[in-house]
Amino acid sequence: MDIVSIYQWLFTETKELPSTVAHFERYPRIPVSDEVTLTPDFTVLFHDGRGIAGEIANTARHEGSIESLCSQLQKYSRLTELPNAGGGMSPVDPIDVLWLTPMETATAAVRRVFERFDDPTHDYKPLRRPVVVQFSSNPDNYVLQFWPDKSVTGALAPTDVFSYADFDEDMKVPPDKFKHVKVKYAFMNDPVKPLYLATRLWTSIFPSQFGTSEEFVATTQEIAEVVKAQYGHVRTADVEAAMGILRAAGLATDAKPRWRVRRRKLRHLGEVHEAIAGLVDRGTSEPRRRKGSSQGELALFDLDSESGLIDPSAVAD
Amino acid sequence: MATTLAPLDAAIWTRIQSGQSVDLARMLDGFNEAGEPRVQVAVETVFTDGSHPFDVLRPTGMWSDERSQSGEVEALRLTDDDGEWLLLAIATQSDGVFHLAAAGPRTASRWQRVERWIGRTRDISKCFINHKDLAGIGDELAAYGRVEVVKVAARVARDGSSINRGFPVRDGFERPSHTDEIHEIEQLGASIRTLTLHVVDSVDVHLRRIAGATFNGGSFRVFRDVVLRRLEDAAAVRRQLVSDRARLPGSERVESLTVSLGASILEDADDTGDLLAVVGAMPDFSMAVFHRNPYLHFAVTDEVDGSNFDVMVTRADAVDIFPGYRASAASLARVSQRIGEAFGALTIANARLEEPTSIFELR
Repeated sequence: MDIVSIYQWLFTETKELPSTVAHFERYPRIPVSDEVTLTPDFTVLFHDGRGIAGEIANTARHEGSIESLCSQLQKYSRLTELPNAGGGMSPVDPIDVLWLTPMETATAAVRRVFERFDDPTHDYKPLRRPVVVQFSSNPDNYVLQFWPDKSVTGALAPTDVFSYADFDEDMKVPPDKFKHVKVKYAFMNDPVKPLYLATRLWTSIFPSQFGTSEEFVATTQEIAEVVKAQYGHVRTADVEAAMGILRAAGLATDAKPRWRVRRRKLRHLGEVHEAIAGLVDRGTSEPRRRKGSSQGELALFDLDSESGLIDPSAVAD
Repeated sequence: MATTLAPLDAAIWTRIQSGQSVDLARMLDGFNEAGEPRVQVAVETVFTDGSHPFDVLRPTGMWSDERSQSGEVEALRLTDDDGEWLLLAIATQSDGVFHLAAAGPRTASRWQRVERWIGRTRDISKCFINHKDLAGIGDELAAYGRVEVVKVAARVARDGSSINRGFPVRDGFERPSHTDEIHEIEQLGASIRTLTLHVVDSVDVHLRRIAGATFNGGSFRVFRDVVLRRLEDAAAVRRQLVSDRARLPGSERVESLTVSLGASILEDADDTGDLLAVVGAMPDFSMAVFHRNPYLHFAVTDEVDGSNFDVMVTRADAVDIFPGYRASAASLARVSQRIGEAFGALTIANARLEEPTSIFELR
């Protein structure tokens, strides 16, 4: 999610690039046929008709994940329209696929993807070579780096105006630059971790929407609409999963077709995410504050794998 | 029943009861001129959503209370084990800003009680004034006489250590001016918490970052015209800063309030852990930490009124507070000022508007 926020900031708020950009879209849904909708992590539509479809992918070791990624990148390379600022679609040509991959696994991932590209017997034949940016997260910043060997990967389409391609150096982006984007857009396209969304619902979304009401009832769809109104994007299935966590924690009951949520103070149980996870672990009985968990020792993203509440492979960028 | 009010309180109460205006400066300065024992007055400047502080303040441990008003001064006549006394609420020209005042030093048990009552009243917000407001009071007092520092208490931001300095009167030794002393404290990387000033031939005051002051003697008129007016201005600015900050659907950009620390003290997870401990200890607030590295990001929820905030530390010298879709002024004031107070912040203000970054700065 930080990577999408970084690119949104880069293309819409920096000094040089925004004047070239017609529209940046986070997590668009682009129907390409009656059955198929493509969901890149972001798209950029430029005034001169160029476009970028960005995909952040942490490739796993198994072959299936590489095949799936190749298939995805190939479909993006054939997009002919991208979302515009008016809520519709605009033609795009050429389109570059920007594949973003974590630095620690980039070498193997790039080799395996481009082996397929160069294999005449393989189906992976995108219209243009994908452009690879590897990224890493450091204590002070994120580093984004175009794959140095352009004989292997593609390069962004040439243009007469200043473009991202003209910055072919390591780009270091401190979080201070994009923090406001991150606060505004709390969720990503890939499945949101249920404990994260459950915690967000409890700490921000429910208090904002329902104030100090002791109890409220709402359907999953109604809750999803509230989340969308506040944060712009969420998948209904993710809301369903997050409400399942709150139910397992004894904080909501499933009064089909609605959820009944009883507000209660969790402060005495530690930080909210720990409290929810603790309530789930122990059924609905009152948990004690976790041993060894002093203030802030466990951030939400530490807790996920520990509590087994989510599938670690669902952790996107 | 015979009154047990002290002479000044008795005089104020009599005027209020008879519907006469209460000019504290005239009364106190008259007392001083008449050679009465010196009267100290402790003051805390607060702001509300517009309601009168006495409508929401709940004094405890008092035998009785009686409320009366004349003009902008409203008095609460209280009785405790030691007798009767008055707590005054003085309305100001600024909407929702009041001075709460009582005769006696700040250290008196009665005033300590008042501070506890204020502290637990959600609808009354204290004001942690910016560093420059404190310096500004000294600058303005200089128009009335040479300003000498009698005592200063400060806190070193980096390690939390305290600085307490006193400057007794000595032959051949001149106490430092407020500008010299503030400069020296700043050089030590510290922020001032309290400042006791003697303005030669004018007034003696004790100033506190939590918008409070004590009149220790001299001209109450000067105290009112300079100290109370500056505290009023600071509280009015702070009230405006924290009011109507809830996010609105469709708003283009999420604007934050920045607590500027003046030094890079939130360098690593241990340092930011101190911030989590401070917020985590606040009654009625819960929190959830989303990220620790490479930056700290956590949500804070007011469990009483539903206000919620995203708090981020992306630089070592500042804390950004982004209000959520529900954010009361009282709640935002509490969170921002508690952080400011705990870390000796220089200012609490809107985030700076910065020039767009050139991508070439990202090399």
